[in-house]
Amino acid sequence: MRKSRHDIHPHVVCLLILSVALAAGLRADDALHRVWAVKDCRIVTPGGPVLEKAVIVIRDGLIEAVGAGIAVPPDAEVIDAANLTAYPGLIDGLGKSLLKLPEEKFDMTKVYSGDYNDKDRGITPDLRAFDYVSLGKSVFEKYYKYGFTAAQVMPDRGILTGRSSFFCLSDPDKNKSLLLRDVCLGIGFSPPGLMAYPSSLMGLTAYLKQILQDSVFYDAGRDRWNKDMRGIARPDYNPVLEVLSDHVAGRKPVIFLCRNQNDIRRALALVAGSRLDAVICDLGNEASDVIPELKKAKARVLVTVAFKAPPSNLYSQKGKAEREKAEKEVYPKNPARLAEAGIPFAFSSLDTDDPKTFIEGILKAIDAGLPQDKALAALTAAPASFFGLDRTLGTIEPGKIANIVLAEGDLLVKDAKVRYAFADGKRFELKEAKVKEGEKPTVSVSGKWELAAEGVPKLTVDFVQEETALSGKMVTPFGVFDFTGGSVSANQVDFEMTISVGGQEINLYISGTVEGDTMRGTIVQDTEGSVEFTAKRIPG
Amino acid sequence: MKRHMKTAIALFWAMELLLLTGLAADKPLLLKNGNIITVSGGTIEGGDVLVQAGKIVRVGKDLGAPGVETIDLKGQWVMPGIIDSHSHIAVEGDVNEMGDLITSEADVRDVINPRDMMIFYALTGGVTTVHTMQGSANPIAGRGVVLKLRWGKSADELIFQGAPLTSKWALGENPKQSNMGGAGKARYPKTRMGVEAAIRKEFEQAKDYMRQWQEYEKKLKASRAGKGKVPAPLPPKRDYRLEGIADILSGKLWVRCHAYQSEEMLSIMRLCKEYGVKLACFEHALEGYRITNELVANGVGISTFVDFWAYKWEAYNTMPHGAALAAKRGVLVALNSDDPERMRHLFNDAAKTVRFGGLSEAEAIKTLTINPAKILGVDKKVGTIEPGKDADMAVFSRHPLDPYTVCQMTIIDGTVYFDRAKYLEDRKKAEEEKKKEAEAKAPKDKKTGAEV
Amino acid sequence: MKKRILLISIALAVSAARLPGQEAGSSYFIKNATIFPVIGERIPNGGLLIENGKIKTLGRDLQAPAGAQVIDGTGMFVYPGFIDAFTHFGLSEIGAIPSTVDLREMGKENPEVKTAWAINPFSVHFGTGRVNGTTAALVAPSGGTFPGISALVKMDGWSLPEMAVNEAATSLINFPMTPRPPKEGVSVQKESGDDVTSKIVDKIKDYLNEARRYLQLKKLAAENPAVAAPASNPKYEALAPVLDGTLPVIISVEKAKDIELAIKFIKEQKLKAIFRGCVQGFKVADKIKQSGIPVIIDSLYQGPSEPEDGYDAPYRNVAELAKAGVTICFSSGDDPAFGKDLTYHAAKAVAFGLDRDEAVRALTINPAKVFGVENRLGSLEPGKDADLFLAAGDPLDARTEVKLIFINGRPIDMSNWWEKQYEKWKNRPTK
Repeated sequence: MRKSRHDIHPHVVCLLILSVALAAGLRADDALHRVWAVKDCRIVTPGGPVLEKAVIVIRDGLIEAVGAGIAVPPDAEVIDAANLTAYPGLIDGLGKSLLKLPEEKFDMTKVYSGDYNDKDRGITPDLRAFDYVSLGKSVFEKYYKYGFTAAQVMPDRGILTGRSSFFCLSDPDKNKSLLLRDVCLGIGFSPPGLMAYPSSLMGLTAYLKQILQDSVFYDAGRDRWNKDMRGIARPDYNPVLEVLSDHVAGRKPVIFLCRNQNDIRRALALVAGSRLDAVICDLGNEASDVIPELKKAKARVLVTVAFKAPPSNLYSQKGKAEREKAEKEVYPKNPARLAEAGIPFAFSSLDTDDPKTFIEGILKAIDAGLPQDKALAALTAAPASFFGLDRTLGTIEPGKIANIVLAEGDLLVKDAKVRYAFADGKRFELKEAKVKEGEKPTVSVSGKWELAAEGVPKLTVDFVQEETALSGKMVTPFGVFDFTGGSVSANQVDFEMTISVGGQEINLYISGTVEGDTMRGTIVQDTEGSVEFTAKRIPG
Repeated sequence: MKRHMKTAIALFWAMELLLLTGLAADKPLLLKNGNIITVSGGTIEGGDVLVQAGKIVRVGKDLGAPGVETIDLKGQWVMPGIIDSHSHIAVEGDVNEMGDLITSEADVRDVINPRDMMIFYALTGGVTTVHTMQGSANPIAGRGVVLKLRWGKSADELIFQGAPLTSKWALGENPKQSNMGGAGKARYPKTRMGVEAAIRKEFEQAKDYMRQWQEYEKKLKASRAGKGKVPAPLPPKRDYRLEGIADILSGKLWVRCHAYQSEEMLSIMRLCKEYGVKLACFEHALEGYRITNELVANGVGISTFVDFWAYKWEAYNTMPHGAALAAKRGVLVALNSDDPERMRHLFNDAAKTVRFGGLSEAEAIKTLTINPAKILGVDKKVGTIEPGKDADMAVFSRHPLDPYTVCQMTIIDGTVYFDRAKYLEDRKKAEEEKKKEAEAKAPKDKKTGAEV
Repeated sequence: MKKRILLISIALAVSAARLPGQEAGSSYFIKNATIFPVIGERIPNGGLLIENGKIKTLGRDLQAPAGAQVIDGTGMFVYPGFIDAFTHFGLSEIGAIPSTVDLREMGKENPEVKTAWAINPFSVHFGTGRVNGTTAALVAPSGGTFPGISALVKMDGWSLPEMAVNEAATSLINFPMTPRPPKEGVSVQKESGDDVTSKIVDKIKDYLNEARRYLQLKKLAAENPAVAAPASNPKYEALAPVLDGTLPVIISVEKAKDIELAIKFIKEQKLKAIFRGCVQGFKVADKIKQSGIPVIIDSLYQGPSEPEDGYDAPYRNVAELAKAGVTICFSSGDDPAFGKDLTYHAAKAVAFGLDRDEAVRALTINPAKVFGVENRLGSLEPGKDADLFLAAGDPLDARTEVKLIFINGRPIDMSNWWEKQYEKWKNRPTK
């Protein structure tokens, strides 16, 4: 099916020069490239038959025509797609890698004064993904390479995490790429870890119940005031409740970020009897354990694909071997089981850091039994329909936005090769990357990382990596300490350092494994013991 | 035996079997040939227990019948499943909501984790029912719940149906945060008297809240009667915290108050009486032995340790004889664990009350069974081995108070949830498989093929 | 009943008689008890004579000499006093109140710090900890890598020096523990934890080598005036007897891999070692046996080190070590408030397969040998200290009351913090 990539077409040569020109900073005039005809391609679109030797006509950002015997318009630029397959551009149902949130500097004196604000407590429904999204050509390329042309982006920290926006990955100017603004409200189950209320999962659940109720009450008060100002006291303005208004009334969706099946259960309990239009983001890959409840609630599910054992799971409590077995054999089956039970779901990249690991996870799910066509639907028609975009995205049909990817052969397979991507009708060509073999480190950790571990104050580490050598400095509440002599091997990081506290020397031994922008591992302190840590790369 | 007697007996059994199988889909189960500590009616040596549809049907001798699935206890000891009335297992996340003082809106049912390995460990110690709840960081912490340790079932299936819900209170060093060494925000209260003041304040606020709703109902009625001339009133804002308090004041929740020192317990008993609150027991109550008269007069039990002490100041003026002395003076005493490791050796703790304070063995067993059942309001269903009660039992290799006893089997609702013999068998098989795998992987000498 | 009256009157008489002046010439004769000497067979209907703080004689058909106070042991069982092989008695009163706690000094290296300087002989926990027959205990410091020097003390006495059997019983080294791999999240590609353990062990070796260098220089300087003596360093001085093997060192270690590493370390460094903990010892029992290192079993109020070991791992661990021939001792653990539960741990081990006689040895003669005091403690033999007790039943049974305890040949005051409260509050009138 897949032709050798060594077939070089004259078009490719021209385009190479063009893209070099682009890279050199010259802006191409988009107005000259508004009409395209993709000829002789195979079209795979969910919910429709596979078309062979078809033509797709794109004009002014939209799909104008699709079919076998369609004529090529005279003003169209033609792409010979004889050995290419066209797919609807994939949609990342929910992610955050396009977000660049500001570095958080936490004021330690608050621990003693107790002066926490809403932000400290994780109550930030007014945090808008739109304000912090970071788009750009190099970012887009990472997405196009794996077939993605649209994404929903949402902050995911805290309890009321913020609001999402949907973007077409077409223009570095976010105003031009925006599809839907401030659409879903994120609700999380991880208290920020301070002693502010709520500080426990139990308190958080009760808090959510109360705040949702408060919002209903707030709405009723405000409506009443607006209708007839006589006879009642003017209600106070409350920015948090104001934001919740639309969501509590069911006008806009909420996305529950469920770390495990217990969170799903909690989420469904909050939804029952309310007007919430809820989507469940299954971060723990345990949705298939609560299928009857999901069916009853007619829930839509966002499925993640890192397939790591979630908090409070049983396998981890039985030992390392059990956990690893489950991560290999049980969790990857989650999407297949949901598909079999007929639970509507879309894929989310929220727990994978980049499109590469996202697709790898999806392929794992396919290996574990998810049919290809269901996987494709979960990346196209499903996310479009969940968020009200089904009339404009998700399939290759006339009238819809021209978000299309052309691949050499199948898309959802290992080492798939996307040659072209169309986003908002703008075409992008992907070049073959030079693969460097034989270099030991597969990650670069240079830069700032924020490290969190239970019982340890938040630390910042600034790494300087030169090939396998690692050095840098660590910022702690007790001062800044340098270290050298660390190493990076494949994606494993190891270093030691000595901290001085009150004249006492403490030796720390840190080993971690890096995946994308996350590092996880252990810190050993002399002979006192060890603690697990998670570190996130600080963008910028 | 005369022939017609034999026939009569056979007929009786056939009818009983028919009756039994007709009662429910569940097949009957017979535990035979054990020493049955019934708690309600003494110990039956060489006795049998017949179980069906999750309930105990008969207790006695020679209950055998053909065709009934039988477990031969071979002289081992059976007691009612141990009930631990103070635990924090199967809870996801922090059991303390540290962010605020009174958190009566918090409900432990929202955070039940049925996959907590500690449930399994408790089963290995003969525990069948636990009361799980918040910690003691708050004067009023929220609602607690009674669970049966049906390992492998969902969170909803763990809940002990029909058990009263509880309200967890705490007095003393923990809510006033004395032992946090300065960390944590400066939070009121910092004294024991401040703790009681905080509780009273919240009670009064809850009463105000209930009054607001009553007034709203009145106004609503008036507005409907006035046919639109008077605008309809807005209902008061719902406050789940104050509703949690209202449940306490209405007696819906059984209050369990964590307290150590006697003066605090006396003043809380007065407070509860004043407000008509159902105070079921004090948790820990390590000075409870000093106020047994008052505890008995107020009908308040204690759920306590036998010998965990001296870890903080308020746990100093105590003795292991405390539980036994209080029991002998008429207080309802339950022994608890507050810790998953202690939970699995509660039966060893009970043995200590025989030595310290001279409790009889039968009374010592009660502190693990019928006493906590009464404190939790589930004594009609569990706590003894009697016909009609739930088939919750623990089988031990020797008498449960014997130092060398080992829990062999734990049964809930007639289902075996822990079987040590099977556990050991499975472990042996797993070890053998591991060995085979390791041998298969071991590098072999190229020439001889033997393992290097 | 007759024997009870006798005992009470004796108890009253002896408690009144418990004055320092009574040292010389105190003799007691226990008659008609079942005696467990530990060395040798049990003696039914036996007699035991205590004179001047020592066991004079024991056996069947003995008569009480004139002047000896007679104690009727009918129905009673006599055992040598139990030795708790690792405790913090006297170093901590109430855990949450820092002013009452002297467990650990700041810093990692404190090999010269002696608990004998800090043990509070009037700690409430001595009185409550001995009620099940514990008559001697090793009191150790904690924390850091080199916590200090432990003392072996009797559970009763007028002052610390009088209580001490050995003010410098052992040194200690806390071995690093290989961390568990993270529970959730990224799967670790290699067991980098092992490398960290080795790195820390290397640091410990470096420290010991520094001490050796110091001692060598000191020796040279003493012999050769041309060699400058090093500046005095009490920490390295304190390590001198550890390095030449005259002072045993307790090494706390738990996991199988770490135990193997520790055995290598001990052999290399030529230390006279005692293990403490070894909760995964059953996985390398043969290696421990071969090394000849005895093991102090920590409190069995714990779960398995790794869930794969099984829920009963800490319990069956003891039996398996004993089966492999390892010398074991028992300890009541880190909390002095639970001192009396030394016998609980022994009984639990027996429940899960340990031979009961071995359990009793592990409470008596084994720790005596391990701490080099078997000439004085650990069994009922003529010439040994009269540290023993009379129990109304099996002393490993929590239901058994220990009626009388002798330390240094004197019956001790059995009242303690608990008993005082019990005596008072059981008399409050019921309304």
